[in-house]
Amino acid sequence: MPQKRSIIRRYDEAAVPLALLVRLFLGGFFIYMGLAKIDDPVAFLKQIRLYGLLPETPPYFLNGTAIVLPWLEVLCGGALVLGIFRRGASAWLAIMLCIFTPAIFLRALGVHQTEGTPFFQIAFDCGCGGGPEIIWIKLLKNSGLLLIVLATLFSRSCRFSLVSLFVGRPRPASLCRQCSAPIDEGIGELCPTCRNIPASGVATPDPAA
Amino acid sequence: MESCLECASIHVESLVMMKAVKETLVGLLVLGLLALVVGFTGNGIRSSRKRLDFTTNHFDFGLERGIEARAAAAARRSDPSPGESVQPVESADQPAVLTVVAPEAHAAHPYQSVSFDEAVAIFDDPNTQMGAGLFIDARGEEAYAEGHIPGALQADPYRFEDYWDKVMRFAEGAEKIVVYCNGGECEDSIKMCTQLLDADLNYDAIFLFDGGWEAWTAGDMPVETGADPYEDGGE
Repeated sequence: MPQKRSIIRRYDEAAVPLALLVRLFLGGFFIYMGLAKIDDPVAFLKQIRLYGLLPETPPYFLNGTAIVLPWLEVLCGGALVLGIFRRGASAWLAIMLCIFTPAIFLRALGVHQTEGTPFFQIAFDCGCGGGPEIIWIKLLKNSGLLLIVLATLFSRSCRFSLVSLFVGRPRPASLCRQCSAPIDEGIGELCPTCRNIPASGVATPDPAA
Repeated sequence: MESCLECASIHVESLVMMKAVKETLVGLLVLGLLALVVGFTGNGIRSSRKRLDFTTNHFDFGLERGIEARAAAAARRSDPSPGESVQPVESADQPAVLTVVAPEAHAAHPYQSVSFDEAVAIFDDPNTQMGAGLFIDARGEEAYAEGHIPGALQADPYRFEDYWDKVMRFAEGAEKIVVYCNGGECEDSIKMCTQLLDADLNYDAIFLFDGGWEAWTAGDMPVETGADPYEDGGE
């Protein structure tokens, strides 16, 4: 029975290695942004203070975030590039984007309300590592980033994982063509369950199990 | 018992999802712990200019010390007789009031403010060139290198101990020390003024240029670029 291919499945099985390219782009992007923050931790500290998300006293929350968050970005970026802990890295990046994007919006709204500057003209350094930016464009960029981070999170493809080139033999397409279950042995393109389904459409136990 | 294709698919799908959730949680935990370890280790081994002190409240601007110093200075001006002890005009019972220079332009602070015209007057004063006046740029090194008031020293208030030698070399003999940062919401200049006060410099000699770099450049004043020539014991 032909199955309707979901968006994620079409994303994973695209002829062009889309999942790989997106993963590499995301990884490189967040490594660059993280390194920019690591280079000047005090500037990043001042920026996150402006959002008012964390208390100033005791100072451990602000200081701890300024110390750890940039490294988390770099490690998540590196994990995406290498193809290890892909889901965990994507989850962390999605969490950060879901926290900071609304915070940027609220801060811009605050500027609009206190200074009267038209919202689409507001620009400031949001502390993301790219310097001062026009905020509505920044919000659009972050929304786009969130979409592709979520695509990487929900992707089921383990193809083109660079670390697999150095650890064990290269893995072939590792998803069952019928039910998208992960398959280890790469025998044909069907998982054991789907291989044992006769023409009647009723599955029988896998004799090898 | 026979199972249908749909039930098998649902079962496999749920197994796949559980595996994905488990994989995500493991990744979150591993990367989170790794970031903690690497972050604190990396911060600990960096040079002092890049290290962030975990236990310090970097936004303690010491405004209460500035208020006390302002009160003491006011008392000295009202009773200039030498040799007599002076009581501060402001007492603990009276509420401490910060100078609100222009609330929409700069955060409130207890230091002496200079307007743009006054800052220009100090800049143009020949005595300033002789060392009686000093400008201190409280922004970071990059912002300083991109442009600063000619002759200004660069000093980071968040790492004042690294700049103490350089600042004191020029500040001890200065009659007017004008501190500036970006202007607007920037509070780095306030922190720098408190650092100067804590270094036992005279309150009366410390001035804060509220308009800051934004006002200086908006006024088409001369600017200088490049790193601080007084860095590392330079002349």
